Amino acid sequence: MLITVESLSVRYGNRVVLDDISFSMQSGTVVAIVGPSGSGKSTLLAVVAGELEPTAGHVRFAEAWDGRVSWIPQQSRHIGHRSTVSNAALGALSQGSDRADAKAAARRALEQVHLSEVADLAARHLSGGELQRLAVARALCTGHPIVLADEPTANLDKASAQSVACAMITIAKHGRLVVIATHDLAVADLADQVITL
Amino acid sequence: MTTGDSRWSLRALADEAFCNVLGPGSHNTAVVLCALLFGASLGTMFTIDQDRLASRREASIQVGYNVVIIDAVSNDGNGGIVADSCRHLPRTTASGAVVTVNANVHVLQTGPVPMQLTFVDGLFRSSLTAPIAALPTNIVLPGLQRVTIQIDDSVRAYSLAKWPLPAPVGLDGNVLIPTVLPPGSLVKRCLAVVELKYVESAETLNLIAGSVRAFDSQPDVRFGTDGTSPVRVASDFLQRPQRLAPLFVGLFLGLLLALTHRTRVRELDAYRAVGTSNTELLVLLALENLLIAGFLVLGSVTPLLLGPIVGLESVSFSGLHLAGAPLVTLTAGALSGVRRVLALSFRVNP
Repeated sequence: MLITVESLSVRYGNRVVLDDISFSMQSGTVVAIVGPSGSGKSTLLAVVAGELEPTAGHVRFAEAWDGRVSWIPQQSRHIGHRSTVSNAALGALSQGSDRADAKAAARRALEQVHLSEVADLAARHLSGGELQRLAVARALCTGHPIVLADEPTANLDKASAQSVACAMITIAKHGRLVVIATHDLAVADLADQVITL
Repeated sequence: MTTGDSRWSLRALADEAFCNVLGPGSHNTAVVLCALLFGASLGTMFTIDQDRLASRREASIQVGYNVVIIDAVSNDGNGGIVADSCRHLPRTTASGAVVTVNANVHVLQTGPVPMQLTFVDGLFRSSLTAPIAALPTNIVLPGLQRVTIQIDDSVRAYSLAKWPLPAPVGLDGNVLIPTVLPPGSLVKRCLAVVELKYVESAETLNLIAGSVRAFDSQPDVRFGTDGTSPVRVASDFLQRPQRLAPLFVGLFLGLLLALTHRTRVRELDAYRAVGTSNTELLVLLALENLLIAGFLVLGSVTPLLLGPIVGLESVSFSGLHLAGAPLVTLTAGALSGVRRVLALSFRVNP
């Protein structure tokens, strides 16, 4: 899928957050949006996700799409009392899979992000890095063509951040577009395309 | 790996709701326990309450609160009510004319005694198969089950028992004697036993008054227990403070649900992170609320079902009323759910 951002501007009152930005993104790639805090990285993600109307400009999608995206937030979102595999399975369940198929897909995804050993552990027992990789596995299980990640490595040590970034690349290898808002240049270095705000 | 624009299936959402409510360590565990506890308390309270109400009503029936007296009223004391017209009155289980006469009768066990004999026409024919004596206490011998009474030249044995009728309201005699009055007989009084469900209806007395035929007089129709406080199930219920208990329990659980929704923001965000729509998330929360309301119902109904085992009577009215608590919980939970889901979105921190 080709996504084209044309002359995009977002203002909050008198404050200009995004000013006349244009670029395009292609499926199967990792796109890093970098910039200092307050530069509009999250805002840009929200616009791409369709959660926020731009003040001016457009986001055009080359193919028909149901508007759903996978989301990997900075702070892990998970169901603490459920197992890791149950959490990852949410991705496939949201696509209409039955529970058995969803769990099988979740186990495969957990394997790809090296979380197989904790698959049956309650998610509340996972470390910060493991939770972020769980979020990646969950995104892997969805069929959404776009995966948006907002500072997914912000609270992680270097090794965990590297692991999460590699997991993102795994998603892109499945032919999906991964857009990462980050100020971690190490992560940006792994991206196929870097957009600086 | 799945692709396409599929959605959550209802079954998958129901499974999720089940796991989120009943899974070990779930945030909803406290709500479920509260629902069971409050439901059981509510059910117990209403079972006891209804049992007391039933006892009061039974006592009222014993004193004849559902008995209607129809007297013939005229200025000159003449005239009366046609006895035939008192049979089969509307909204009654039994009705008929009564005629009381003073007589000097001879109770063989104790001797002569002045008594009032009441002849009943039609009214008790189905329930009274034999004449019954209700003797004044001063002539009742301990252990006496039957008495033999001589009226004029007739000697008959009478059962000596409590009145087997709704109440002796309007029956002034000591001895009840079933009889069939000749057609067209005029009497001064008729009695009617009103069906319980019509006791509170204002139309009942008018319907009865309109059905009896009076000659040279007006029928005065009234309940026999004026001055007492008969149990009016509906109106009594609406006056009692307990009527608000289900509302408060429902609101409390709804509030608890709302607080739980707040503490579950990360959980709900996990669903949003996989592209779950607002509608799907609302369905999930509604199913969770439904389960919790189900536990409230379970807790409420259990005492109602167990009540009769321990000798407490419960009536359907309380069951209907108890449905109010889960409904309030569902409503409050739904409002909270809508608010929470609408608040969930990708957080934008410009």
